[in-house]
Order: sequence, then C-alpha cells, then structure tokens
Amino acid sequence: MPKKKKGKKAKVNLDSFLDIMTCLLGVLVLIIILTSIDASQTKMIVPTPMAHLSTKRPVFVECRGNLLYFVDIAQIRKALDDELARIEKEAGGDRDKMLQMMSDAVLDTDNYKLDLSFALAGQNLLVPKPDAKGISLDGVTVDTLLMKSVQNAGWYEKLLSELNMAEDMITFLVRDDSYAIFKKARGFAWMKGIECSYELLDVTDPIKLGLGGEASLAQ
Amino acid sequence: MGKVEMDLSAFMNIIIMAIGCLVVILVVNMVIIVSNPDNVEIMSLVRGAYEEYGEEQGAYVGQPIYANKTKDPYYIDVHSDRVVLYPEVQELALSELETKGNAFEQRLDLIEPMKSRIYVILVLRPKSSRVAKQLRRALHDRGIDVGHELYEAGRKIPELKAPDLATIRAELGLAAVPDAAPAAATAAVTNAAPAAADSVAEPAATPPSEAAAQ
Repeated sequence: MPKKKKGKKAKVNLDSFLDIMTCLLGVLVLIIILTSIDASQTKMIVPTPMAHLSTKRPVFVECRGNLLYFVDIAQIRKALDDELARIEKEAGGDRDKMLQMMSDAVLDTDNYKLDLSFALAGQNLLVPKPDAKGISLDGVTVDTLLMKSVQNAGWYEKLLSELNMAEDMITFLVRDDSYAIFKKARGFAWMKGIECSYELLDVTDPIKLGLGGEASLAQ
Repeated sequence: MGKVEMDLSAFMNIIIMAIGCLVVILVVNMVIIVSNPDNVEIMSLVRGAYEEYGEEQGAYVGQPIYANKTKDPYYIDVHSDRVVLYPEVQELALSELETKGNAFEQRLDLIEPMKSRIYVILVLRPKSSRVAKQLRRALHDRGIDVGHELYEAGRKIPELKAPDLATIRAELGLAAVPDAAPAAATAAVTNAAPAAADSVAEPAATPPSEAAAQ
C-alpha cells in the first residue's frame, strides 16, 4: 500500500496580535482606574420633596382624629345652589331679607356644616360635623403598602381607583392630630401614581375654600 | 541554532478573558458616572411617602412623584413657638422672626442668589400652620422654591449637611463666600441687600386654614 503523505500543518504567527491585545489590556486597566476614581465620588441621589403649582383638579380629603373624611365638593356646591335658590325665592327680591337669611343659614351635608354667611365673599366655610363617620387605615402597614394593595379602605379605595392621574390630584387637609393616617393615605396615592398636595390645619380651624385662599402646591 | 517556538494560544485566551472582564467593569463605571453626570448629592431627610414613626432605620415606602433631583435643600424645622435652622440647629423664637435682619432673613439672603440650585424644605410640626404660612409667604416673595413635609412632634431630625455653597457659587459665577466665617458672610450678604423681606414680621392677615380655591 502506498504510504500516506504527512501534510504540513499551517502555522499562523500570533505574536503581533498578542502584542496588540496586551497593549489593549494595559489601556483598559488605565481607563478603569480613572473611571473608578470618578465613579467612587458619585453620590447616590435621594430625591427631596419640592412643591409646584399644578393645574390638576383637586379632590379634597380631610385627615382628622386619625380618620379620613371625604370633602364632597360636588355635593356641597349642589346644596349651596339649592339653598341660594330657595332663599332668593323666599326673599322675593328683598335684598336685606336675603342677606339676613343667608347669614342665618347653615347647610348640612354628610360630613360638614356649610356656613352661608361666607358665601357672599365667595368662600365656602366648612365646619366638620362631630358625628361624621370617617374611615381609618389601621390595617395599613409597610408590607401592605409595598404590595400596593388598598383593601378595606372604604370610599378611599374607590376614590383612588376612580381618579384620573392625568387630570386629578388629591389635596389632603391635615389636622395636627392626624399625621399618621395622612402618611398612609399619601403613600397609597403615590403608589397609584396620583399627585398629592397637603395643607396643615389646626384641629379647631374650619375649612375655607374659595376666594382669598392660596393654591395648594403639589409635591 | 534552531529557532525556539512557543505556543502562546493559551496565554492569548487568558488575555481575551481578562479584556472581557475589564470591559464589563468599564461599562459599570460608565453607567454610574452617566447616571449622575453633575456628581450631585442631594441630602434627603424625607425618603418616602410613608415612614413608620420610630422606624427611622428603614420602612421608607414610595417617593414623591415630582421629587426634586437637581436642587439642594436647606431645612427649616417649624414649631408652633419657634423655628430651627438646619444644619446649624439655630433656634429662633417667633419674636426674633419679627426683627429685621434675623437669622431667617440672613438665610434667605444667602439662598436668594443661588435659588436656581438651592431651595428650602419646611419641616412642619403639629400646630405650626400659622408660622409655616408666614415662612412660606416670605419664601414665595423671594421666589425661592419650597418643599414641605409633616413631621411628628417628637421625631428627631438626623444630622444634615449644608449644601456645598462654594461649588454652587462657583458654578453660578458668584463671588466665593469664605467657609470659615459663614455667619459673617451671610451678614455681609444681608448688608449688601437690605431691601429684605418684611413679610415675616407681618401679622397673619388671613387665617392659615385657607386651602386651594378651585
């Protein structure tokens, strides 16, 4: 049998390529040293709250006695309009009588009494009713917040699901005694992507809405 | 003499792997740098939407939707009978706020030229609504941005750092304020701009319970 010729193995000289790779390695090490120095000086940014004017429609929620109360502006406006129409009709065009009737009138809504004497100045003065029923968020903890679940929160749960985050924001009217429930309620709202603003009120202060007030800044 | 031949292919493999690792490290470094190109540090007292009282070491949930990441804050702790300026922990009684050139006004004078980079966070304690309203008005009159956070009565404020005034002033092209004598510097600024806010000294014209008009 004829002997098979042993083929010569083709050899590629990798020396130059190896030189290039080694140089690249050195350059990379230098770049990493420089970038590491820069990166180690970079501090973590933790955002801080900053208020800004928002054009969104405010929905008012009062935090009082560590309970949440819904300030139903639509209901209050309707009751006010009805009462003003009644007074106008009863006064029969007598301006003094109309003013007298308005200064004496107090409207009852679900959670608030509305003092009509301020209506002439374009303001709605709401006095909280002592027998109004608020909701508590006692069951809410960090864990439930992390789960983004709003359960057993009554109308607040419904409110959050119904609000349009592009058009609505919640304005919390926070009494001195209700920081805890405010923070829970705000936590839920922020979790749902709803913008919030808040105003601090003394426990005994009535709520004034309307002319002469300042826009509540969202943050 | 015969040529000595070495097989360097194994060594090359090691070098290629090392280059791969270095590239990964480089990318990580670049991401860190690119994420904060200005190397800004924001000192945050308020870290979450919901912070369980007494759990200062953790339990921070959620963040403000429109949180600030560009301005450094000065904190002012607002009580019903006094305000405390941080980070110096300088207490001012309400009566002192009514005097011209008080420390609060000096602070505003210091911040005003740098208001594009510095703002004020009011830490509101219970029963502080009237005082807070006056402070807010004073800040608004100066065009200084404000943030606010409700803080329980007994809750302690941790140690806070002042914004890096030297860097900010340099970036804004303002004259440097010597670090060693901040009080003197602020006083100098106050003297340079005496048309300061009288608004704090004004009595509250309107009750603080006015919420937003629709």
